[in-house]
Amino acid sequence: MSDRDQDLERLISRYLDDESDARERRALRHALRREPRMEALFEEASALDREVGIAIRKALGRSAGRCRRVLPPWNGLGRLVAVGLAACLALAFLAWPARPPATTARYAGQGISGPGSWFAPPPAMRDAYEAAPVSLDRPRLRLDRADRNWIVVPGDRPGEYLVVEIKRVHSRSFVIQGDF
Amino acid sequence: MGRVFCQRRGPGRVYKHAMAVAIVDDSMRALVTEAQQGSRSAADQLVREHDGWVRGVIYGVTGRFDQVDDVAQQVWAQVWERLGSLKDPQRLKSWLYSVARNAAIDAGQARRRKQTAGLERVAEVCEQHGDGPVTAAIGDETQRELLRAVAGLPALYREPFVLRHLEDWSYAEIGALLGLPVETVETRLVRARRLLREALKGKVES
Repeated sequence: MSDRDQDLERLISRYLDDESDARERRALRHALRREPRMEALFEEASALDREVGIAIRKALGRSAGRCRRVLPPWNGLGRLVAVGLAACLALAFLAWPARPPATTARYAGQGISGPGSWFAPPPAMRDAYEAAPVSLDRPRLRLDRADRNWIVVPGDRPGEYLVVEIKRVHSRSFVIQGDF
Repeated sequence: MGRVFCQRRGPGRVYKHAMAVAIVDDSMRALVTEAQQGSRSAADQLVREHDGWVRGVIYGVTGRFDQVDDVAQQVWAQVWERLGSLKDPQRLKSWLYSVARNAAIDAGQARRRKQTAGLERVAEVCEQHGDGPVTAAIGDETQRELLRAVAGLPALYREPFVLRHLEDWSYAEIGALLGLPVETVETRLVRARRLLREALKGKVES
């Protein structure tokens, strides 16, 4: 193995151990671009490192989940695409016309105006009574074998309930058998 | 140890990191003192914090993960016996390292002495060839092959390699524990990787 190969091997090892500085990363990047043989060595070393790490951790009862950096960040076109996509999304989000938040519509009838910005704090809540549709259907009576039932009936006004205590004579039925 | 850690950080982070290390050192000192005074909870916490890398050292020295549990138990038993003799609590880590390393070396020697006994030797061979219960638990044949290759490394290289992969420590941290310069740690890791590549060439599919 030549001195240059040894240098590159050392750079790869330092990179895998997250010990390389910017200058070393740059040197490694250039070397990998220039020499496909070195790129193959890098990929072999990084895959081996990852697998051995997992095997050791697993053998000693640790979770195998610690994934260390094994692919160079410059090597992936996907990384570039992802960064560009994230930047576009951020720009689109910032440039989007301000739309009144949902809270504005909710308080529109109560004289509370919405701030018109997604980032503005929500309007202060105030005590307000909002008429909710109330079903006035009478509940079905429970006709079980109990002597006493409690029935809750919605009242005329929203939020009002009537509690009705029903007392009824215990009744029972039985089959009459006889000669008629 | 804090000074060593700082060598690899950017200058902007040195101060904060030094502060963090100082806080960790203080809490460790307090913990060791409490454990020396007989606090069970402090002792438990010491084990929780340091058992991981202690096992890494044992595995690094012996190269046999089936011995790790036994030797780790011996190590902690020795630690509780001798903890009172530790004068400087800040040196706990290097003290623990020496206890773990010596116990691992003793276990390896004891094992070699016993190898003359037939059954022991059979168990050894089975384990080395991947037929033992512990290796069987690893499951994957590729991983067994990888572990065999790691076990075949000289302890000199295996020790920093295992600590690096198990604890994700920096070169400076490994060097501080093993009492080696950072450059030596780096060289040993490079050689360990080279030996592993050579040992596994053609054996494990990429």
